[in-house]
Amino acid sequence: MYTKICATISRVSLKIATVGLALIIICVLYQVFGRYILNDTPTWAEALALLLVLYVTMLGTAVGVRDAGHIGMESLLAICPQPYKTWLEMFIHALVAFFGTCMTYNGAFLAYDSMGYNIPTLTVPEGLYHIPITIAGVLIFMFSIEHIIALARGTEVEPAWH
Amino acid sequence: MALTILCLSFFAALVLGVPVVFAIGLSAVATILYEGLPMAVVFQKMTGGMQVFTFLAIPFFIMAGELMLLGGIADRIVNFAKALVGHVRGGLGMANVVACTLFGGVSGSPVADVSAMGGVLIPSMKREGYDADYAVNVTTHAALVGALMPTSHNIIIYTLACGGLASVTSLILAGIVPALILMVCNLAAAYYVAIKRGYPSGTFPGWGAVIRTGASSMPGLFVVVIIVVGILSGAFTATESASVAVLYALLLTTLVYRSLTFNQFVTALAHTVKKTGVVLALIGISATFGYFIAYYQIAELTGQALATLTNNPWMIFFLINIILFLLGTFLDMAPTILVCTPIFLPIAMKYGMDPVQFGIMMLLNCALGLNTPPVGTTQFIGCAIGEISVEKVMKSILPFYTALAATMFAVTFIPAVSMTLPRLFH
Repeated sequence: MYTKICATISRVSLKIATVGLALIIICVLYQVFGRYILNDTPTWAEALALLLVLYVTMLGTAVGVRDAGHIGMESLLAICPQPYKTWLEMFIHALVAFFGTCMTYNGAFLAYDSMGYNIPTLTVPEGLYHIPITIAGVLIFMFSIEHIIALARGTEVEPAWH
Repeated sequence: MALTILCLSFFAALVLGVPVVFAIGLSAVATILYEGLPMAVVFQKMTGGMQVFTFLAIPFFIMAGELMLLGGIADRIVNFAKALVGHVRGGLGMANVVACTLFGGVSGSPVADVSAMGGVLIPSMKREGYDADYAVNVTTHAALVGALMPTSHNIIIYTLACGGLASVTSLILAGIVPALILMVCNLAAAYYVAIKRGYPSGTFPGWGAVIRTGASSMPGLFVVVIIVVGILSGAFTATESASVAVLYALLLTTLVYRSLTFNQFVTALAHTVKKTGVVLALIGISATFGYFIAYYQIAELTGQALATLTNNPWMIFFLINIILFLLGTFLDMAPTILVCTPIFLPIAMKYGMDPVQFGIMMLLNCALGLNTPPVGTTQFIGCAIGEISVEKVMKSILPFYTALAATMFAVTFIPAVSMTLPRLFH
């Protein structure tokens, strides 16, 4: 059940991020179009692209945790015998889950703290810059716990969307 | 003490197997807690680190490469390379080097290059009677040239890591000559092994075939021209050039080649999101790490430690190469660049090396690491495609390492190799 929920969240996150990426490309292309064709560079395009990239990156980072896509060394893991290897993997996921918790708390704090200010060119609250960290923190925590549960059961987490 | 906590927690997490992005994050959190500063600083710097317009070029370069990969450009480039040099002794090896160089220009990524070219050429070489270790070594080394090409997103990462001391334009120009030298060295290594093992020569299909296949692959290769000309002419920024390259790749693969389906387009977007999530998060969190490196004067301390060994600039550069190579064998390109540049660039500059030249040296070192165990990403992909063990590939790797080392020493000790083009255009 928990794995199904995580898989669905992962898939939806990735789909939202793909739409976000497409929007970023459109923003930057529109900036070029505005400058050369309309003779009027849209000031919002760059600001919006920089806001969207935070959401795309953070969702991609969280999905990367579930799909084990992040770059790392495996030297100690490779030489560690069972059952210590499983315990070590659980410990690694617990550390990542801890970092996810830090992201959630501090991202929420920063978002709350900056909600009263506006991004000048977009006239939306600056807090939107920090919400992606919070969302990613929650997802990273959930996906790390999913990995720990899978290890305890002797199974593997399958990527939700290739 | 804080410096000890930073370094120990980072390396401990790394050795344990914690992904680099979280290893950096956890060590930053540990150091901040020790210093009694608010933890929010880490995440504030992380957000700020990702919000640089130039870095948008990274997902765009990745996306353009993915579109080219899924849109069938690879086959056209392979056919052109085969027609061009397939008749030389060890012809498929030669064609492999040329094809990898050309596709490296399109994708800017050694990993994408070895996946695309290796997927086509390694099985083809094995069928033609070439040994699997030769096929894998030729492909994985030739693919490294992608890291130096104008479409390389690692160039953008380096511009961040060096704190604006080198421009994207200068680095793009600086990489071209070393990329060509690397191609020639790889051709020489492939030819040497081909003669030694008695591989046959192919037959020349005629200039008609060369022109026909060249014309077919040329629109795909034009993406490099868009980026280089766009940036050099001042018409576009690096990010805008990359976005135009994405649009061009999309139009080419859907309207001209008609090889990209909607599902493949969505897959390209999803792959780009995943890779962006890895690379840009790493860049964001490295901003925190960079802050600590500057605050605790790690670069100065490392410089002093190196100065106790020697004061000869050439020896210092050689030692930096060795350290970068060793770190590169354990880490992937992006983390090596992000962690090592703030430490070693000031030292290299103190001994007279230009930041642009250092950038190309760094990229080559990182590329060498991609072909060296224990973490040799391109090598692993090549071995998986060639269905051969890393041990067997390592046994015959020497001529190809020599080719790479020759290029690296040329870049390190002859500034003109990397600096001539940037100086010419500025």
